[in-house]
Order: sequence, then structure tokens, then C-alpha cells
Amino acid sequence: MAGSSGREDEDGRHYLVERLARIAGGDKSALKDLYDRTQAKLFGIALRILNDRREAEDVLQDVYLSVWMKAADFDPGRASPITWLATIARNRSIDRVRQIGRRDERDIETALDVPDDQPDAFQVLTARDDHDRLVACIGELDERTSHAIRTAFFAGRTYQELADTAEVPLGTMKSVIRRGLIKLKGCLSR
Amino acid sequence: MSDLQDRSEAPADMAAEYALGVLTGAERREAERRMREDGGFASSVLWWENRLAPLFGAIRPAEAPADVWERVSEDIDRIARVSATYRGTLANRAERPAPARGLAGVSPIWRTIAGASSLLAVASLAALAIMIPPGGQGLGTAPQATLADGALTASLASDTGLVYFTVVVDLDSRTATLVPVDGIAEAGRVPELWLIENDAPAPRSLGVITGDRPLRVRLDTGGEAASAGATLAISLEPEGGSPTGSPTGPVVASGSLDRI
Repeated sequence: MAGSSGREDEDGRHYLVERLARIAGGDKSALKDLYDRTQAKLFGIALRILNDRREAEDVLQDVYLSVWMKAADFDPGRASPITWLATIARNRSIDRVRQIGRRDERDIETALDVPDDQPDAFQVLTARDDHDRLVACIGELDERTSHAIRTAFFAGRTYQELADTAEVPLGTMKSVIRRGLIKLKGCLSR
Repeated sequence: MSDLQDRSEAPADMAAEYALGVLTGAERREAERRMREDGGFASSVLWWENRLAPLFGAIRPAEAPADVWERVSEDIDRIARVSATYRGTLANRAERPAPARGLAGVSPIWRTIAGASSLLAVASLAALAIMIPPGGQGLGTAPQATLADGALTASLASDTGLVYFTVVVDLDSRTATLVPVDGIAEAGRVPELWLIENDAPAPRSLGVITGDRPLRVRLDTGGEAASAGATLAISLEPEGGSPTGSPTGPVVASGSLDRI
């Protein structure tokens, strides 16, 4: 991983954008570069949602095969490369967990700022002010709403699963999250 | 699942719900269909994905086992090999009428792989991977070496020649890689894949599939054999798949499994 200076942030982004362009042209070595740089982050995301190493490995394999085939769809003007990759990994993981069901009901860690001793691709490649704004906007939500939204994001849980865990009716959970999303949208749009 | 029924006062924002990850599988397919058909909706999803992305920073990285890269690498090599082999084979075959809709909607890399002159090759290649059980039981002989190191391919096309899927089956790992060539989308129904063996009494379901992204299907359960000449078919079924275990909806695409 690169360090965290602004210069290196930019280098990291360029590195991934350049690799994605080469992958779109069929350069397999560029995919290996991209894999080496991002696999730990994407595997972490898959593991977080699936909570099963074997399943997470299968999803990771699918993700990079998809990247190989879809790299030309990546538009650096619309998303950062690491956000694009992480979103693919997260969506695949969610689809998988919808198929196979949850493996256990491990309590979900929902902290926004998990201490981490090494800067990872996200801390390096996601703009600091985007991060700060999201944290501030989530902070404006009441505790129940922010907990539900963070749990939904990190574990990819459905309304029904969230309602069951919180022991509230489905309609209540939908209402809590939908209102939270409206507030969040207003705050993030400011 | 209406708001009235939920007594939820807040209106649903499906783009936000998709990005957050609270939708069921069927609802996610519905959202993805809207993303393909409605640019404004797709932009909303992207907006939410980008805004929520900083949360990824709180997820601790974990080293994946080294063999994951090896599996990715093998997948890529296999696809490239089969595509190249098939293009060569196709050159010797009579041409078929071009599908009316071409490769619209296919990701660019597949258009690249197909190449302008080999569009038909990909169309015909739309194959379903099928398996041979250990020892080739049921086939009378051990699996013979195939041109692409143990690969079978099939093209799944509609009656009018529109190809929906290219399938490559790797017999060693007994894995089928399905590559969508054209999307199958119909509100409220999902594509389900069927294997029809020459001497089998009924189609066997290989599961509900997604029509808009590549996917791999492991064929290592059950132990039933599939072989060259077997037919693969896709029918449209209710969400969750056929309730009866047999196809209940229209067959939208089919094709036979061939050695290359």
C-alpha cells in the first residue's frame, strides 16, 4: 500500500486507472497488478458480508473475472477506481449471501472508524472531505437510524433481517431506514 | 410489498436502497433492470454508491489465499483459448443469419473478444458447460481429450437466432462459465437453466441464472453426466425458479453441447 500523502493518493489512483485501461485492452499482467494492489481490500469486503472464507474466495474470483471483462465500462469521471472495484465486490457478495442465506448471526461491528494500523486502499484513495462529510451526516441521524444504516451497509442485510435482529416489525424498520436515507440525502447534497 | 401495506410513511428510494444493500434478491434484480433501462435511476444508484463509499474505509483488509489469483488466471486463459479455437472452427462452417440485435448491451471486452468478424462465432459459441463425472461413468468411455484441454461449449439462442449465452465448460474442474451475450430481462420472471440429456426422462434444473453478468456454475454436485449432444435450455420462471421442478414458462433459448 502507498503512504497517505496527497501526492501518493494521486499516484495510487493513477496506478489503478492506468491498469484498468490496459485491462480493457486485454493486458493480463495489468490485471495481476490490480489484483495485487486491491485483493486484500476486496477480500475483506466479501468476508465481512459472507462471513465464510470459501464463499468469499469464490466471490473474489468472480469479481476479478468480471473486472477482466468489464474494465472498459469503468469511467474515471464517474467513480474512483477503488470505489468501482469495492462496489462490484460488495454487490457480488450481497447477491451471493441472498442465494445461500446467512451462515450465522454474528454480531455486526458497526463502528465508523475502526482503528487500523495500516493505511489501506480506501484511506489512501477516498477523498478525505467525502469521508468527513459522510461521517458528519450519519452523525446527524438518531442512534437507532444510524445503527440500522451502518449495519445494512457493512453486512448487506435486508430489511427483514434488520427487523428480525432489532426485534421490530418489518414496516417499522423500513420506515426508520427510508426516513434516514431521505435525511442523509439532504445532508449529503448540501 | 407496498408502502401502504408496510404503513411506512417515508417513500421508498429504490436507488438508495439498492446502494445500501437492504433489498431482497428479487428486488435487486428489479433495480438492476431499471438501471439498464433508466439512465436517471442508474445515476441515482451511482450517486449513492459514491457517497457511501467512504464507509469501506472501516472494513479491515484480509489477504486472500494465493490460489484465488491462479483460479482467475486459469479462467481467463480458458476463455481466451476456447474463443480462439472456436473462431477457427467457425471459419469452416456455413454462416448463419446475423442476430437482429447484435451485441448491444454486451460489455465492451466481449465485443473486443468477439471482434467484428467473429460476432457470429460468439453467437454460436453461446454454450453451456456440461460435466462428465469422475471416470466418465455413464458415457461408456473415459472422457476423451478435447481440443481445448477438456472444454465443451454451447450457444444458447432463441428460435430467431438471437444468442443469449456463450457457455464454456471446463471438464477438469467441472465448471461452467456462462457469458451473457444479450440480456434476458422480463419483469417478474427469472431465467432458469435446464439440462436435457438425450436419454433422460425430464429436464434437470441447473438453477436460476442471471442474464446480465458472467457467472460460473459448479457442476460438481449430483453426479449426473452431461455430454456432447445434450441440450441446454433457458426458460422464464417465477421469481425463485420453477415451483414444480420442471420448466413452466416459455423456453427463450436453447442449444446443444458440442465439443469444439
